[in-house]
Amino acid sequence: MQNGFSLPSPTQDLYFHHVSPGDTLSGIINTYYPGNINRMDVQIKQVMTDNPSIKNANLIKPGQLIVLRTASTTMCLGPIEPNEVNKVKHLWTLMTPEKQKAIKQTAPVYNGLTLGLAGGGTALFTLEKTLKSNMSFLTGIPDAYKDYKSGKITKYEFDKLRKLKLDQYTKNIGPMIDKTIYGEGKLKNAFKLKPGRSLNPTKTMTQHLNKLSKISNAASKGGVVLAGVGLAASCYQISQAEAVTEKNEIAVKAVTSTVTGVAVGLVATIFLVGTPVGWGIIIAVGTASAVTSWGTGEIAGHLYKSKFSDTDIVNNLGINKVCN
Amino acid sequence: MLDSYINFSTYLFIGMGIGIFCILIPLLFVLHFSFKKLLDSIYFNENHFSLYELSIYKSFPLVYIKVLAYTRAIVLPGTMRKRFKNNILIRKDHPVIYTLSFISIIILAYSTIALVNTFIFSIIYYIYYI
Repeated sequence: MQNGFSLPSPTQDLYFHHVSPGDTLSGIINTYYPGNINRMDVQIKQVMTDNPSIKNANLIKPGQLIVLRTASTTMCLGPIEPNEVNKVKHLWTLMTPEKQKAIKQTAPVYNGLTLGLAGGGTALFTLEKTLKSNMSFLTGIPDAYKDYKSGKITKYEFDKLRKLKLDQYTKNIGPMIDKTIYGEGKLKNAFKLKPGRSLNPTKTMTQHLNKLSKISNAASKGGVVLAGVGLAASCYQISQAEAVTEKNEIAVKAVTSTVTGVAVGLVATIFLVGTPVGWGIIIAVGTASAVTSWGTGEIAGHLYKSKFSDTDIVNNLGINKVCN
Repeated sequence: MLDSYINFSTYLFIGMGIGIFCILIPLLFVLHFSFKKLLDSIYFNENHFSLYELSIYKSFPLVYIKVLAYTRAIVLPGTMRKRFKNNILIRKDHPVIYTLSFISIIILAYSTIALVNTFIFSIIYYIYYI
């Protein structure tokens, strides 16, 4: 691999190869991924996707720079490297106490979202996982910029790396989340160098990383809170309600909506797993689960009041005792 | 007539709740560990799951989507040909896992019927009573 080099942490997950006379694409791939001859077609396709300048797999030019993924980036989203986790933590420490407090205060907002426990929780959990597991693609860019400034990599290599990381990030989190969080084309623009800001050209990048960190943390908290808050809130309401019928009605609503939410999630999953499931489908299932669970909960509450109000569920099952 | 339907739907729904929380979820928990040992090393890769799926099916609660995929592939292999070209588990070699998977699918089939009935019932109830 004398013509190849890997970038230092956190960009170590990419190889760069300068094409020499006589090099072939399959030969280069074989050098970096030995023993993968059976999957050569897939590898060639992947390298061509990552390097749009290669139009023909049989035609690479000497001096051309080819970016190749390591095993971790081929698997795309492995666990975040410890140093990447530290980076996220570092971002947190960089925030002002007011900002940290604002993020912490985001969690109680979800207390109002009792609608859709399982569904909403899953959707937020997915969002948090997606954002966090892809954070490394973005945190690598300001560091690559430092490498470029210190002369470790050229401007061309930095631009290529930046483009590859942004494309990978957008592809992984999905275009809709990208547009929702950042707005059309704003992310790519934010991670471009701003020549006018010579004192702190990566300021915009850091701001966007802070924003991402904020959303990710809020989603994480929201997912966890949503998972339990509905039942906890219902329990609190049961303990506060004076009439036994009212206590029972709340319990029936909570149990019915939880059972429906989980059932819809499970049934939808078993029907959808036949083909690969994207984030859009997961969020759609989460939303459908949320809406239907709320609706059936309301119906069950009404049904209890009109037909089964003589049955004391909360006292017979000990729910009242637990909630009190 | 409507009263009988209300009772039938209530029992069907309670049955679904008990089936899911008392049987299916513990079963999926057991199957998760069995599949992790038995199938993950062979099938949890790019050939059978998308890159996005590989990234999110690693931790709770989304890991159970993977468990459900394996479960369906074991009991109804013909319906999972897009993902798994061959049978992923031979029934004779792993009768216990097959039986547990079969019970899971039966509960899910029951839940599907119960859910469809719940939605129909909800509409009828809303029209006549609310």
